[in-house]
Amino acid sequence: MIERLADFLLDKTLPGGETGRIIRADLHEEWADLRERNPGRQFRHWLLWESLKLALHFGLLGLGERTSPGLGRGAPASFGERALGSVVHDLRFAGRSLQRRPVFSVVSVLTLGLGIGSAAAMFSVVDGVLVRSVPFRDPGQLVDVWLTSEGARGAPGLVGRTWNRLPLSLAEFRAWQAQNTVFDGMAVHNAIVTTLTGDDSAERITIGYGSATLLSVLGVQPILGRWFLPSEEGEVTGGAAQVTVISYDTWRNRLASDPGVLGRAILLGGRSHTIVGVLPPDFRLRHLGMHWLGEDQRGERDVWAPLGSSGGLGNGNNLEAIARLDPAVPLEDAVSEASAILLADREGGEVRIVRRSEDETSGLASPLLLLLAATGVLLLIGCANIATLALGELHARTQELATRGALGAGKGRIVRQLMVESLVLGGMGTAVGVLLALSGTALLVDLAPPLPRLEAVGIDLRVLGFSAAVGVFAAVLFGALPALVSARTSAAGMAATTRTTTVRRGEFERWLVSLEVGLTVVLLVSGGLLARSLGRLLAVDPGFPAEGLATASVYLPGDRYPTGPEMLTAYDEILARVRVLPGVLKASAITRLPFPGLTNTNTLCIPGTGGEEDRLVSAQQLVAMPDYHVTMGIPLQAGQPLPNSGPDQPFGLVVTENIAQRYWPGSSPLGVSFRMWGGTATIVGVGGDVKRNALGAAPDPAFYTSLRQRPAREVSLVARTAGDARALAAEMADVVRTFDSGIPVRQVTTLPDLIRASASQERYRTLLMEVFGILATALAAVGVFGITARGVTGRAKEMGVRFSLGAEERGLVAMVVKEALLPGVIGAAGGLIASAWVGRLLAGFLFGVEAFDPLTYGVVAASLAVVSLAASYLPARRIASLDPAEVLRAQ
Amino acid sequence: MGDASLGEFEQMVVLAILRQGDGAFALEVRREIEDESGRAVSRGAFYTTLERLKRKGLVTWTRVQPTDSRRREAHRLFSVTPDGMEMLRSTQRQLHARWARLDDALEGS
Repeated sequence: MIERLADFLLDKTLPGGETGRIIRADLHEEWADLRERNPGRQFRHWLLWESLKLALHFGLLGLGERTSPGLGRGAPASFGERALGSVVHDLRFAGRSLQRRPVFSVVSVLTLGLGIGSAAAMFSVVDGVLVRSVPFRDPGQLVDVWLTSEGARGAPGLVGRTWNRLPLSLAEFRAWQAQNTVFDGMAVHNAIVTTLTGDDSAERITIGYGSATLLSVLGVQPILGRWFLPSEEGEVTGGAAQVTVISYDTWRNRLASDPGVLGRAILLGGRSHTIVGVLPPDFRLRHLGMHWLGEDQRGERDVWAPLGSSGGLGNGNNLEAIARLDPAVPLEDAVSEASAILLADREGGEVRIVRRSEDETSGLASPLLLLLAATGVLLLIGCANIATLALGELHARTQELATRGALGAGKGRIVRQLMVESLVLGGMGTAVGVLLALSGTALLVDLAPPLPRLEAVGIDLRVLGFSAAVGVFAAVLFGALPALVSARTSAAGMAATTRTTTVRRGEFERWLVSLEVGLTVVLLVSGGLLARSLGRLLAVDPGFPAEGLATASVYLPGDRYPTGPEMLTAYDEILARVRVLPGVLKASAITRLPFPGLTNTNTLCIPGTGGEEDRLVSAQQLVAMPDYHVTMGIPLQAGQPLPNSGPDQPFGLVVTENIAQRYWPGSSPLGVSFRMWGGTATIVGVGGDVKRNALGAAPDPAFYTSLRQRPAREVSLVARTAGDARALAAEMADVVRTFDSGIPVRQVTTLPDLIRASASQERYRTLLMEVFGILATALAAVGVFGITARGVTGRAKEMGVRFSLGAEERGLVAMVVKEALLPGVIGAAGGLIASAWVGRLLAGFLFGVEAFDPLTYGVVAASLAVVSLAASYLPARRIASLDPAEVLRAQ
Repeated sequence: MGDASLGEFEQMVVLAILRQGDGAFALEVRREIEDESGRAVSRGAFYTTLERLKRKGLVTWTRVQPTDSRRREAHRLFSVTPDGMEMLRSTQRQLHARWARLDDALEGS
């Protein structure tokens, strides 16, 4: 890497032809000599450093030499070349000037690097997730299409969410496709989890079902083979060809990138499918509206099959539609035509058409932009810091600048020189920032919650361009003030009016420190509010004590366990083996565990008695072992647990408390019977409400039936231990594999981990905001330290006089600290006011905390006071070391 | 060439080439200058000066194929041209003349 970088530098700058080649060969020969004389050392940095010096010489300084007027070498320089030459001269001068002040230069470059690095890293995430287009042809023309249902509007919980985004049925899709005149193409897709059976193992993978039009609508070509043909698509009733198109990852990881893979057969869900195509590596089509799919199922599809092989999936409204808009047709026309077709047989409801790119990132834009804004504030603090440093430097350079003025340098020339110095600092800061952003971006991606297109995030030309722009902007920002101050003071008067300049400079510095402290307060308050909110969120009771609960999901393949009794025997045996594992207190099973939050909405139709209307209860249908509530620790409010009796007995249901309260206010649902699944169902118990998806959301209404009465193929085992839940989860997976290696096991984890993962977005933004806040505090502390230190030095004479007049050392220190603290106090007050405004913007991200949370504001104010006090006290103490006689003599 | 003379660094380069004689390869010449002057010589400035001296016809080089297997590129073996020798002498004369005019002053101090 280093060698390549060195080569790159030389390539770009060395003279062409033989001369360049020989210079490079000489350098490499010296490098080889060095390594030979010091075996075991590579001297790569030596090579880089020497190449860098050569590059600087031939790149910039060589240009300067060529264009320096009056030396009579080569052709006379043109006006453009002379202007360039004078810029090069400025650059050289700036370089030397900065070299003379290493502390100022290094601190400035690092501060700037930190600011630019954070901003660039955050920008790369924002750019990758929000801005960069999806890897489809003309992605701007792709739209998602769905229906809303009038009746479900405003319904609580998942029912409302799901029904407000109703996918299409196959019949609707076909009708729409046949009558369409405004779209260039339309396709539908969905996904389920299926079993991929290998030679000696079975695993659960996600299979996508897509219409024959899907790839042409997206504008994607398979890298091998083809997509499905219309003749292979089939119908709801079946009739699809047994063919499959596999994802690039499946091809690479499971089939060893076999180039002859086309025509091979794989076992999907126990049926043989012939591979007809392989998708490109960046092909990713997320499902956005399917709430019954867990987050892990919504992302990538491992394999694809024609729509009709989904076994009746297209029967209901569960096909997510994506269409390509004709660029000539306005969106409104598309909506009205689609409405006419799709709503023909529906009562009420609407057709929603939303651009795919917006749909994919909805809800993500504001938190990410908030964090980007936070890095902007951090950068601003950094700039203010460098400006105070530069103002201090300006004072130290009064003599130099006055001399230059006296020698004939015009005001404009000096201002330009100062600006060029800032730009050089900006350039170096950008370089450091880009280096920081390289690791910073990797870190941001590692820490990130599941975000779409995260794989596209990285440092590329756009990020580099952004960094460069930010660097120039920052340089102008922190360079302008010192340049203006110097411009205001006449060259001749500069030496004479030092005192006035110092006063003005002091004012500016204090204002800048106020600004820094104020912005820091804003960042700290934002971070504090988010942290408090996260704490409140994680403290929410999900409806059961999660600590000590381990889980593993199993799927019983139909060829091994064809009937209900066989499945139950298997579950009983597995659970019996889990219960005797050391430390296990209880174990049970359920079809849909909370926090993967998979949903399966069903409607109970409870006939009214005594003239009442029928009650239609929409709720999550869950199937669990009778001891599920006890194992999870979900309280049973009334009645009995789920029955142990078999499928021939009436179904016993346990409903959640919110159902009981909503539909039977003031009475009890216990004993209510109704027709269900061709038999009779009776509500036998009322259990506590349980959060299913998000801690911050209201618990969804749900009803439980007994697994003994409705055996299910896929369940999550759940067990409670007094010991280490993570270890138990792994042991549970082992138990299942030992029982039957043909049973695929997935999602081996613990409930606390699942709950934590549900708050990963909140955790991410809180963490980042806090890190930015802490960095800002450090920068502000450096700012306060700097002005106090310079204040002490600049006022050494005054201090000397005061000392000799008998002033107490302690009193002088207190005076200096007080003066240094004043801008901090003003800044903090301003910052708190600004925070109240920013807090309003944050309100949407807060849970259980007011935007004006007195505790957060108080803690931030107090901790900043401590930091400022320390930052001003440390340099102020130097007064003690002043020797009045010495000081007065020096003046 | 008239009154033209060599700059200080140019003189150092030309003198180092002369001192190295048959072995005046770039690396050796640069090392010689560093040893002689006791300070680091910027690689860029060194090569630029060599190029300039060549352009002025004061030094010349012949290509020598490398004996070291690690190196593919030819070496340049530098030598000073008659013009270069003339320029060196002229520089020396000018210097002497300047110093001579100051002899009285220097002795007086």
